[in-house]
Amino acid sequence: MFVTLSLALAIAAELQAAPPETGGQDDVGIVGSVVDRDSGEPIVGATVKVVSGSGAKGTSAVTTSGGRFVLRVPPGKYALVAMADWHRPVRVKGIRVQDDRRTSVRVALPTDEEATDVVYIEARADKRKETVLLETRKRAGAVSDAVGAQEMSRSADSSAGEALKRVVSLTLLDGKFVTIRGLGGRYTTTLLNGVALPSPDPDDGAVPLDLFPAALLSNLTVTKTFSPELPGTFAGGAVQIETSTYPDVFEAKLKLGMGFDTASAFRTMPSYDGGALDALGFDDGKRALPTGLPSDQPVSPSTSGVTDRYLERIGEAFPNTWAARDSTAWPNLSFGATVGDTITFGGADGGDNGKLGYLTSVTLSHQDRLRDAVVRKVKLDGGDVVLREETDVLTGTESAALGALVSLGYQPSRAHDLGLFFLYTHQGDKSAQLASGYSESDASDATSTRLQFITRELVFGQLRGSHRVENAGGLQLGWNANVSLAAREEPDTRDTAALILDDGRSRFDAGPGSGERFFSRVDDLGTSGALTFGVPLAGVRIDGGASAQASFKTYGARRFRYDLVGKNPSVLFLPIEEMLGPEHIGPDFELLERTNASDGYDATAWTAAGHLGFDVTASAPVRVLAGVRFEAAGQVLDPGTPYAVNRDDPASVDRLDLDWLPSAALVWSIHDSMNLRAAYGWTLARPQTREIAPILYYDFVRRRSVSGNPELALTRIHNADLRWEWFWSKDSLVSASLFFKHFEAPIERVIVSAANGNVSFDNAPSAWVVGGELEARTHFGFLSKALEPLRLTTNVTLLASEVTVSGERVSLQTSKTRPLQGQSPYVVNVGLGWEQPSAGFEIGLYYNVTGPRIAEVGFDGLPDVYEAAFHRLDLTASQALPAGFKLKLAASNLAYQSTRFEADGIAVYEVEPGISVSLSLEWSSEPK
Amino acid sequence: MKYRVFLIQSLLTLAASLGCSDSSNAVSTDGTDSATDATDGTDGTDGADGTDGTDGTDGTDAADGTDGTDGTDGTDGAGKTVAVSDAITADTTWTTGNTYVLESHVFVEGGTLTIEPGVTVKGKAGTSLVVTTSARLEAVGTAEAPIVFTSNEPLGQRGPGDWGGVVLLGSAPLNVEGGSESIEGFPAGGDRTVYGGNDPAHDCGTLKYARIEFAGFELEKDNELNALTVGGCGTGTEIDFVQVHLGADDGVEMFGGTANLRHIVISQPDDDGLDWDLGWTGTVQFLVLQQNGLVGDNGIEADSNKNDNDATPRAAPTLWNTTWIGSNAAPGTAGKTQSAFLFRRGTAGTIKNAVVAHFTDFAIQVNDASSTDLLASGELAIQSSLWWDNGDKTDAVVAQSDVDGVDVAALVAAAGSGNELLDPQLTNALDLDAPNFLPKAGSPALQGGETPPVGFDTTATYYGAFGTDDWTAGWAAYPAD
Repeated sequence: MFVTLSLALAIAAELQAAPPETGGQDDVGIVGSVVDRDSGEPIVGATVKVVSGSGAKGTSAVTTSGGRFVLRVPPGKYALVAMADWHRPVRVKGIRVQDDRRTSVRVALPTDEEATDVVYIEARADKRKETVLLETRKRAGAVSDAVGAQEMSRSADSSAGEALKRVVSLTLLDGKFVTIRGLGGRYTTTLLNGVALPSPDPDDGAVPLDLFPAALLSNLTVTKTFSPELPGTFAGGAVQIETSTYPDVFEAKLKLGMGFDTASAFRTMPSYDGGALDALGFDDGKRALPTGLPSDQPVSPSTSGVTDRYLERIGEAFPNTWAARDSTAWPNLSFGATVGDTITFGGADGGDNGKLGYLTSVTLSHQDRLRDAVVRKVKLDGGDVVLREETDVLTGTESAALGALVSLGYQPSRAHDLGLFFLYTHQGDKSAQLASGYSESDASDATSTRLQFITRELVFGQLRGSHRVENAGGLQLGWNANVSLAAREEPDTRDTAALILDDGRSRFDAGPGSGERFFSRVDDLGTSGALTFGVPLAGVRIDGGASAQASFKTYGARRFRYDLVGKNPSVLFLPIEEMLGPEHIGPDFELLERTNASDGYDATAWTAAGHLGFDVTASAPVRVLAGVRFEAAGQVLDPGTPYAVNRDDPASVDRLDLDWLPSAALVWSIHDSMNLRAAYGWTLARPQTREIAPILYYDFVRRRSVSGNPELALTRIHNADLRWEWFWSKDSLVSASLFFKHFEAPIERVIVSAANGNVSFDNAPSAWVVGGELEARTHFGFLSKALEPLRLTTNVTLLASEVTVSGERVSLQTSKTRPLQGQSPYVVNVGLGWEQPSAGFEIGLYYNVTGPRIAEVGFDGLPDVYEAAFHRLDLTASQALPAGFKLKLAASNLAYQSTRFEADGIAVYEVEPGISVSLSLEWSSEPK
Repeated sequence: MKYRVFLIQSLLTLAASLGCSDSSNAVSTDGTDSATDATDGTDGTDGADGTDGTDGTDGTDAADGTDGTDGTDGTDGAGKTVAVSDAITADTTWTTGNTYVLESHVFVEGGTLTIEPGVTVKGKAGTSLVVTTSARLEAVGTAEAPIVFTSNEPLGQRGPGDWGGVVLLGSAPLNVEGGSESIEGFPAGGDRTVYGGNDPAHDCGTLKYARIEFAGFELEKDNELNALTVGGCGTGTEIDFVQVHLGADDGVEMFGGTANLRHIVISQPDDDGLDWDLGWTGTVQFLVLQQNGLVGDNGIEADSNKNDNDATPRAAPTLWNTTWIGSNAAPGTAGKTQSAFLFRRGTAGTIKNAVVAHFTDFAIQVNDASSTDLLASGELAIQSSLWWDNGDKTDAVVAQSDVDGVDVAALVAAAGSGNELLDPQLTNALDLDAPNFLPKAGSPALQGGETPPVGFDTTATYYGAFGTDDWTAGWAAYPAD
């Protein structure tokens, strides 16, 4: 990973100005192409510069697709230099340009055999491209896998989360939380442009990757071995999201898409009357708390000023909407636009080396989704697992997402690069959920309705720079400063429940969880900064740096319930909006605050780290990397809310950890295109702040009670990796890996109450994970020229893990020894594509399967719940059209699989997502 | 917690427009307070009983800090108000005359907490008194001076769920995987909420001549504190002459264990009267339940284990001489479906010499194959009892099961069961403010029941919790708010 520093500067362009072949006066000059001397393949993004010649010295061009370039120069005699990543520069002399014709030049660049690091050159690698990412992997010190924008656009993936499925050993939980080698949550780190991201979840630190539209991304790299510059909370791996950056030449793109899924399109779905801006994903204020609510005290009779009259007024001030309304699910729509360019000017060093680049990108999407799920509960009867109750859950969700990105780059000279980056994503989900079925605990048929609106937002701003100090031995310096805000807001979630009597009448359930309104907001403000340096010495490169990060998270929730205070139970049979209408609020129902002391907290988490690493190349062909990282991490959580109706004063938490994290790696270049790698790292996993807080809180996201455990210890992890890889052409590789991880005191979620399934956390004595990965990607051109367009990408992961959970205070878990939660025994990806650039046609078939994994641990004799394997088969096809247009078709889940969670063969959750189809039309100012 | 700041001003404006400033509100509350006190005095059966004494302390406390008249108030001039918030780790005594105010969940983690007769313990919202497995409670009042656990709200503003309640935890067996768990309603960190074990004789202490009022704090659905929660307490525990009044959620909930209950009054619970779970095998004699008509649920809600219906030890308590009074509404009109007994999820048990009257919807429901099998085999036996006016029927036992083909009514009313459809002729059992559960002279309930076995009061050959002796006299009370 010692290439990170300089690659951080490597920003890219996918489409380059393809110069017109014919034209008037402008057509005069030098045209040509730059290719790799060994493979003969064109090099995109190489810089060709005029180094001598009257009147045109300093003129330069960047090669486009096909490695082509055009230099518009007056007639004369010129010398050129062509430069590209990982190649040695080549000088071509004696090029004559005459009045009436173009001069053609073909430059072949030799690979730079000695480059153990990225050569600092003007041409930037296009990290959206598969070939470039493979080259990066080959040269990296660490074991990594990646997927680039080129690959993302081929598949049907729309978000970062979906695209990551294509990476070896990666799986997704809930469609948004990534697990690497079966390890999710606390065991993976997500970095956006090198910076750890805050989470909009009040209880979890995991970053939901569905927040990142794929269209805004350049590439996703997953690093699977630890190196000192990575955060120490590392076990599964680190997901590094790189956002798109400015192109080398002017580029404008528009994309309009439409899609539907067979489970939703044109069907009647539940919705509700919310606000006027729901379709855009924003609340218009109708769900806000009514004015006149005590701002620092609960709405409770013991609060001064709160009288019965006041309670009636407040109770009637909330919108009296409790029932779902029918609406129609419309096809999904999406829109995207991107504009970017680079302006070249005279740089600080006198040559024409200055650059100013920009990229702005906007995406919008709207989706209606209907899901008809069956939820079942099981019990043991005579030792057999039998059905306890069954509920049909119909959910209509209207989602609107907005994403915007601005990236500015400024290179005053070749030695300095400054970047300013801004990202904003916003998603609003409005849902109405109707559940109906038999309630075993009430011994009656029952229904419930939930109306919910959730917005999630991420704002990220980054300023970064890198500098090369020529007169200090090529010292490289890099720095970044970042601000981020992750927010989640859930205004006015409304819950009602009713029992259906034998005579068919529906009676409102006047109890907890019914007639309730819930409001919550999480803000996680993060700020961080880092400074890194690299010193290339003879035979060794020293990298080091320091970073600091702090996040300030505030969570506040308020809950209210309409309590039955009248003495006439017959009102419970009225239609809900009549029952909770102005006529009955006051005499029959009273709104009271139900907020608990544990419904709010302020938390601060900070980390300060320093790292130092050595990359020894003197021992070639074996490269030795060794380093250490030191981390100091603090966690402070102060629970409480002024709106609590109970006076329990939960204890606060204050914790400090100091840790050394050593790592080492060996890379043996068996030959130019084959490596054998071995790596070891001693890493850690920290409890989330809320997991160590001694408070019982209600997890409103997952709907269960959770209590922290202040006695939780830090987990330390030994990671060992072995990988063999053979890059046998620019875009082909075979690799095989083995890994082993041993966890000391892993933190496991445990069930502590058989009566209601309350959850807490405990350290298990130990756990281990062992696995193997195989990956192959290739074109079939080596078999026959006719098969050149056929491309295969495939990977297989096999995993095994075991955790022993005995020995805790409470041992309700049925399986004392079992695989880790969320760990699949196998993950398989196969992609088969046919690509004919000459015809502008591309088609791909993708298959993905994740083996059955534990979704919920069983307790009190009940079996563990497994998420069944989902065989996902997707098809995509695209056809280039004249005038820069391109039509793309994508179809997902062609095997018509359903999502199933099973407990001993009984489906405890089952939903059919249907087949989804989307069609998009893209226009680009520079067609491929 | 970024709710809008300008709401403060809005609130003040609104409060002003409603014409109630802070101070005037406090004064009017005080007024209500003393008025209620006066009513109590004239209305009480024993003018000078301990209830009123503690009410006087109530006045002192409510006035605390809000006005300066408390010096003249209160009948117990010597009484102090003691705030309690820390865990109790060694022998501690709460002395007669004082009022103890729970400021948070108070855990008795070691030693014995002795509570003397006449002591009032008040719980603030969300607080409770928890006796852990490594400690004991010695709370012994007298009929004249019972110990009262009540709400900290002023008289007239008290209601169910004002505070958490009393929790007793022991090391007697539970039928959960691993044999122990964390009690609901509390954070699980540390050992103090864990209960259950292998000591069926565990002694959680003595709770005698005590009332628990307005308790049962609800955290969220399926996670509440009951007025009296007894988890894993063993046969060494004595719970006798205890009333739970107007408790949110269930009145008394037994989680496993072997503890016995004697002389229990459960008046107007929000949910079920007596709830058992996780394999309770204790005994009960002399228990009366009066159900709450608005939101009261079942008289008994009995589970063995909801996850594994056949988990062992199986719940199988024995109940002699119990009286169960419903709210006497027409079927389908109460706030909840009301049934005297709901047996399910594998519970067994024996109920004899019971009086079951006036339940709105059903006399009895038996659900799940495991419990209906036990009913058929006799391991779940409801016998020698009087049934009257349940489900609005005086000529039948109205029963139901969710298992197809099971006729619960036929099994309960089978020949030889000793069950009879007779009016027990109770004096004033439906009155919520001043009930009298004793049978009138000449009532068929007064004789004809079975003779209880050794270990029970063998003289109680009558039906129901009462013969001619009113054991609730003096210490039980039924304040509405």
